[in-house]
Amino acid sequence: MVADRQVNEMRPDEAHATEWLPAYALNILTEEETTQVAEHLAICPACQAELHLYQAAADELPLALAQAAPRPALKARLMKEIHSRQVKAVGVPNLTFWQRWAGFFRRGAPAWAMALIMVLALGNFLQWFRLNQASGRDATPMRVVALAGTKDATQAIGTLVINPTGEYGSLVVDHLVALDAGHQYQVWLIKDGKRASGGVFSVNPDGYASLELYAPLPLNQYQSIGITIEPVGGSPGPTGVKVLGGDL
Amino acid sequence: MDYTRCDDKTLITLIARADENALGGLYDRYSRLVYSVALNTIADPARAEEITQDVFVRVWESAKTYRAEQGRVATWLTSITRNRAIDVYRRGRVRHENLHISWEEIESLNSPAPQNVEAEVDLAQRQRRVRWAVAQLPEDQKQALGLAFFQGLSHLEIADALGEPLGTVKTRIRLGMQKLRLLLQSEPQE
Repeated sequence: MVADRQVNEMRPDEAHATEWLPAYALNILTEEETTQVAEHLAICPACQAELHLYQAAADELPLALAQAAPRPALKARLMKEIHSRQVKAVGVPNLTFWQRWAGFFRRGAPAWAMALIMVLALGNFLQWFRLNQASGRDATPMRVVALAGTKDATQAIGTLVINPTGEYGSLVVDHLVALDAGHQYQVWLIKDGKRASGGVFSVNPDGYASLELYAPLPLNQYQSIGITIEPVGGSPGPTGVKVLGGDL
Repeated sequence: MDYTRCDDKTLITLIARADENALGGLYDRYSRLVYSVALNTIADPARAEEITQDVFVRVWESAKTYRAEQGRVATWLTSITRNRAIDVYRRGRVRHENLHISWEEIESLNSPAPQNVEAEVDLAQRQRRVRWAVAQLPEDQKQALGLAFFQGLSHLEIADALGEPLGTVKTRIRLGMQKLRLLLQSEPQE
């Protein structure tokens, strides 16, 4: 059956990737398949048009669900949070000394938070190291990787903290441009030239974000990390401008 | 102002101007849709509520950057929800044993439409159409599509979960999407 073929078994005379477009629209192809279909799409307007139709069909699927309702209290919680954000955005006049002091930290929050996270991460590492020395266990440290901004994001900075087994990683970024509603940042983990998505995220108005990374392999098995600008929800492979990167 | 009379784009414009009540109006219109998408991914009502709240907070933060040419507001909301829910699902390694997707039962295409506002009429019509189209799919195709779209499972993960050959799952998803696309482009028939 034709469907059992792999993408890399496309015959040279096959003009289109039609049979793989449905799965591509659902973002469930393997990394290799995704890369090959993406390469074909880049040069094939006909398949781009077909893909658009499949994506439109996929976008309608949520409307077919049986509608469940959240608890009524959720709306009250939401509106309370929104109102709180709005009050902070507008500002509070006649601040007391302590309110101004707290405001200093809020204004400088992104850089301050970055510094605090680094201090805490270092503190956690030292504590863990001392405890492991005391218990006689092997003291494999947490890895802290600094990410540097590219020429398209010279102000951007990032820090990745990876636990000793590489199973978990926490990423903090700052000074990234807040993107429009149609775009998000996407994390890529690279091994032997192949890129695996580590997730998508958006920054707050100050350009700051923090997130846990999840990847198919332990993070310490990858060779480098990069962050690009992609359509909202992410892409099967990097398509946009790279803003941050680093070696692992 | 009666926010139930506003169309989606007007609500977004008002939200971009920091109109809290407009966000409340958007929540009233789409909270069930957003919550349902989250619940079918995460299968945990408390977490699904957290995701729902996150989605509408995101709307509040990014309403200024929404452009109508990027797609319908409902699609924008469900896209944000799906991505957030799949992220939470993968990060938390939440995995539920129930592989059931809660598809709505098909209702009569001649059932009365809501009388309130154009936006609600449009949404209701689209819902009826999609539910009719999904109802035409064989159960195995519906299940495979649901697991792929709402839970972000790969071909291999679906095959493992269902105990089916990988090639069978690939075929079901391909045929299901092809049929869904054709049905949505055609005129619905009872």
